[in-house]
Amino acid sequence: MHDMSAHAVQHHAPTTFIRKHVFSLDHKVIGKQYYALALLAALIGMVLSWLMRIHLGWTNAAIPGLQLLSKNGAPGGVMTPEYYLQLMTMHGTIMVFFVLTTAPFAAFGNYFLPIQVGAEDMPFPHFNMMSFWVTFVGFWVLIAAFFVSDGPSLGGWTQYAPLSAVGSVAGPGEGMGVILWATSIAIFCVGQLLGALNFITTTLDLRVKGMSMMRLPLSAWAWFITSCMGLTAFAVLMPACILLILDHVAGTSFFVASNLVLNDQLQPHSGGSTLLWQHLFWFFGHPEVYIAIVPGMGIVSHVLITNMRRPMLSHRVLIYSM
Amino acid sequence: MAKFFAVIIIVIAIASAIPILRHTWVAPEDISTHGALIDEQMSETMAEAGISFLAAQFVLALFIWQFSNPRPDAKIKTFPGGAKGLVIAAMLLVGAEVVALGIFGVKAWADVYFTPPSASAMPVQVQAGQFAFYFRYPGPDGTFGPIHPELINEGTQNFYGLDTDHDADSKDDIVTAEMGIPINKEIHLLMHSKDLGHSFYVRELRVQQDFVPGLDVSLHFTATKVGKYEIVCTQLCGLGHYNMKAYLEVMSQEDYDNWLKKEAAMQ
Repeated sequence: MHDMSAHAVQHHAPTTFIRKHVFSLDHKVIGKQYYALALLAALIGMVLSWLMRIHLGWTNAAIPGLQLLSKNGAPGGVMTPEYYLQLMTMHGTIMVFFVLTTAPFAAFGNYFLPIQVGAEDMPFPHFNMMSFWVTFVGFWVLIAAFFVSDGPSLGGWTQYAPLSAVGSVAGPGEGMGVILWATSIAIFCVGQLLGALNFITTTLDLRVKGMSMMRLPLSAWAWFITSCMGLTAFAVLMPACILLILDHVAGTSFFVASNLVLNDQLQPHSGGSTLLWQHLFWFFGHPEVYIAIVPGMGIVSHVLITNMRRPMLSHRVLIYSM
Repeated sequence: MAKFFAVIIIVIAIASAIPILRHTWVAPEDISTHGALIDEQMSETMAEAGISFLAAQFVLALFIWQFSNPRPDAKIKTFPGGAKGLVIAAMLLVGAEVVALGIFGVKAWADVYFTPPSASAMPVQVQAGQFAFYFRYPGPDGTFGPIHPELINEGTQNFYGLDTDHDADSKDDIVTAEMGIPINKEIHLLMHSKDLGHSFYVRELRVQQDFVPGLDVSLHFTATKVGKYEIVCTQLCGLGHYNMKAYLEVMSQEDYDNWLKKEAAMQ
């Protein structure tokens, strides 16, 4: 098993610029790409939070230039209450998915995990490359919601149905905005599933000789556990997003109950369940908080004991507790 | 530097405990019969979490102070009994805390959700919709008329979709935009949403319950103090969510009867 690292993942050094820096198969380059994407997402999310704070402090103040982003959402630069909700939704989604998940898990994990287990690279470099570029596309699909006619969704990062499922009758951004949101998150899930697959295989199959599971550094354990959680969590969120899109475009009623009336119009849906979305979403949402925190716990433990030059009180206990 | 850091930790820990101990931010006055249990639960949780928090911070500060600059020849000390004892002790401690909170809390929860309303409870219906609450009283016949969703029309003020021409039970139903209730009378609240997810939140009543579209949710409470209180929506429901509210007016039985008569005359 350990011999695999010697043959399976050896690839020639890239020669062209594109192979070296853009569509790279190198786990370190992919890690850095993920990190750059997370920083960009954090920057956008942060600017959105500034705008929201300004609106909370000076509700009727005109923010110069904001009308260029949305003519209806901020006429003359003055943010409307619904545009505040739209920015809040985008802020939450960008931060939870494209910062909290990508930076500690995908970025640091890609860069350090193969090094820590003694592998030359991930076992499926093409999957690894796809994982980043798929996530990249997902990010821009989400950002595209800013530029559609009635803006991004206003339903919050949890997108509770039926607010998110009945379409634009529920408010601005609840039509195209939600479709783009759900598409983006479904794409993101594909990226993370490919990543998780690589992480798990690297940890299980590509450890260098003598590196038993219990000798793995705590951060490597953290990424391994995170990938196992991600594999189940994202595999549920992706179909949930697809069902949500179907409720919009195919006339299905997965998340919409019968006899709902919006704007005095009886909705053409029946038989769905509001709670179904909440169950599916939180099947992802609960592990997601650990996907965000466990790599941090692993990294802190690793860095702390390395710099203290002492072993962990109990390596095994910390692994079990993660 | 490390000792300074230890002092900072102590200062922050104590400073954050002061507002709690001085009751700087307290919930508004409780006007319900079940609220005392919930308030008690809150303060028990606060006390348990607060003690654990302060203890953890003090121990952290102590260790930083004590072991910040060890002499090079100092022996490395280990926890007596090794890691196993420490881990088991910590697990038992945290487990006991959680179980204790659960045992205290179960009564507060059961009082609201596992106990059915008494037979004499007064039924009131509440319907949530973008972005208003409407309340319905059954009238003299004591029965709510059926709801026809296709008839709901804000323009003609048929907020509930009632067919008063055909349904005898609907004829005397009273629909209001404000919730009036008599004092010291148990209310059986029958909740449903006309469109999306909403929530019924009255801080003074210690009541917060979501509306689930497609489900009928029921709740019961007794108000014990006359006054006007705010009912707000706490489940994001769209662009007017921030403004979705109604008022709960708790009145003496006599005032309530008059109020209901006046509302009935306006139907």
